[in-house]
Amino acid sequence: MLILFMGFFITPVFAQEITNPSLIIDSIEVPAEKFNVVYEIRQLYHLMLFMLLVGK
Amino acid sequence: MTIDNNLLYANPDGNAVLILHDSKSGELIEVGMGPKPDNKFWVAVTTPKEGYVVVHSNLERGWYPETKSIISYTDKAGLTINNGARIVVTNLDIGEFAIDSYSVFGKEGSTDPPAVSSGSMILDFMSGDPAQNVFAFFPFYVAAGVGLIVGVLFLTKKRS
Repeated sequence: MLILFMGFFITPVFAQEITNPSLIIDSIEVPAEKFNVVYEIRQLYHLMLFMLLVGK
Repeated sequence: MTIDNNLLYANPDGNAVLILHDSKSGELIEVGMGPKPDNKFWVAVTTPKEGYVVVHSNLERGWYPETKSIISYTDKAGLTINNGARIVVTNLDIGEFAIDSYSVFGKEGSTDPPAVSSGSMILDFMSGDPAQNVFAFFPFYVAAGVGLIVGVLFLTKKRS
């Protein structure tokens, strides 16, 4: 009886629409032109690695 | 985060590389996807101690154009990556990571021909803290309340 009674009051709570304030939903479409570039940071990383190896 | 790669590659040496940058430490997660027919796929991360580390690399059948690749990260479970058919990186501990920005590239050198001719890469982000949902712990509160009531009734039951 107790569980049946509580069901009338508790179940409707889940029907409420309250959004989570931390929720972020986003969609980004990256066009093809953006990929036709050279990654400069990677080049810098390889240059630094090369300089370290040469230094040794 | 899901990656839907619908790019049409312009040359067999072209790549589509997505880099996610951390907001504080400067760490990054790099996901590379090569052209058909091999569909090579690699994942690299940088950490303050180890630097640039390739944690997964598959030169053949690395990713699947008909499905989406999935990158997931949580503070406790770390980094997990699914290539569209199976999990290729499981619970990799990369410390704290929060996406600040992203960048893409496809050419290794400035003299290389264009890597991609048309199409697009669609990135879907979803981020959040489940604990900040007001009803996240509601079932546990109900269970505790019912357990408390049952306990009180059990202890106060008059036995003949």
